[in-house]
Amino acid sequence: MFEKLKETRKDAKNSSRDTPRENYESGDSTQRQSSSTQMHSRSSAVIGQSIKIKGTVSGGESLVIEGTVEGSVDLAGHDLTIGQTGHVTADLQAKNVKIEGQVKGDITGSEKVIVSKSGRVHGNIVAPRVTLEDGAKFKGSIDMDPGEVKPKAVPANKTETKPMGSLGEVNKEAG
Amino acid sequence: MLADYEPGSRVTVLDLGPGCASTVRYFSDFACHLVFYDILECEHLIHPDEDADYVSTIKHCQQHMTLPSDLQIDVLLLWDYLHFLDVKSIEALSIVLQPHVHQQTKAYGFGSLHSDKPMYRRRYGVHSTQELQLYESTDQPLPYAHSQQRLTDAFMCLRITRGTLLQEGHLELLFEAP
Repeated sequence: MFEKLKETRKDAKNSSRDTPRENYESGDSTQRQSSSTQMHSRSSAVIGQSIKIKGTVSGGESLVIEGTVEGSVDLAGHDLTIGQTGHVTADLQAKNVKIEGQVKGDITGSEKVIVSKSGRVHGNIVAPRVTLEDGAKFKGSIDMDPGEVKPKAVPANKTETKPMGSLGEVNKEAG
Repeated sequence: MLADYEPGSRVTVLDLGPGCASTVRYFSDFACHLVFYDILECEHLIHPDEDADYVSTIKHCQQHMTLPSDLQIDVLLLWDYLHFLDVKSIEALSIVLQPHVHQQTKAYGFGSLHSDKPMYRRRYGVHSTQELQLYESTDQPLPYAHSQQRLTDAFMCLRITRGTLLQEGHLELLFEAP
């Protein structure tokens, strides 16, 4: 059985296996100011902190959600980040998904799903690669043998939102 | 126990604790299905109705511990969670897990050499085939300290095939299908 006990120390350095390299290569956001902020500068669309959307969010570009979304998010073939202020009650589908905020729903990543240390997830994750950072809260199941997770066909090269409920002010960082 | 599984092979794991980074990291080398079912959130097991009879305890457990019906567990990570449960709740848990156990199911957990040796709260993850990751260690005694014999009698869906004596009168237990 197990012969050794390895203690987690707060000041412990991550092993080389966990060394951050690139945003979606690593689950560790400790060495950068905010990975979702970094995402903003990559010309991703942003759903700002004060925006609330009920319904389906789909599109053909990467997206950062810092606000509240209820329904579903489908960004097949693109990256999705739920920022630290993001509060999502929805099923999510994207190429790479990074969770820094709160998600209640199932998450499908055709490449990778990362739950950061500030992330809170209640739902099931399906992706070939999944990373859970120390400190992340997760309840549900993880399937890392999903076969081929096929992205759905992407319509236009534009993020489309279909609000059904309240929609707050438009975030000026968007686009 | 985990050395039996080759990296890349298909393995289904049920962990009775919350999601754990090192366990996910370890099993990411496998084509795995990991289920984290935090049993401490299962109020009917942790704080059972003392007046409830055996049948209603099982019924409550079946209603509230909803595992996927087709879940067939290869590796069950019990850790020290059985020591949060009284004997009646362990029996109920065993009955709920029974349909999800198969001939090759193995489980790993801790026990007490004697019931008067308290178990202390520890939170573990899998680091490697030989090494555990200790996340949390407190001096807070667990509600129960079940001996190997008591666990054998109560957790009937699996049988204890190996017990290794650890420090402080604790046991490392390996369970297999009967």
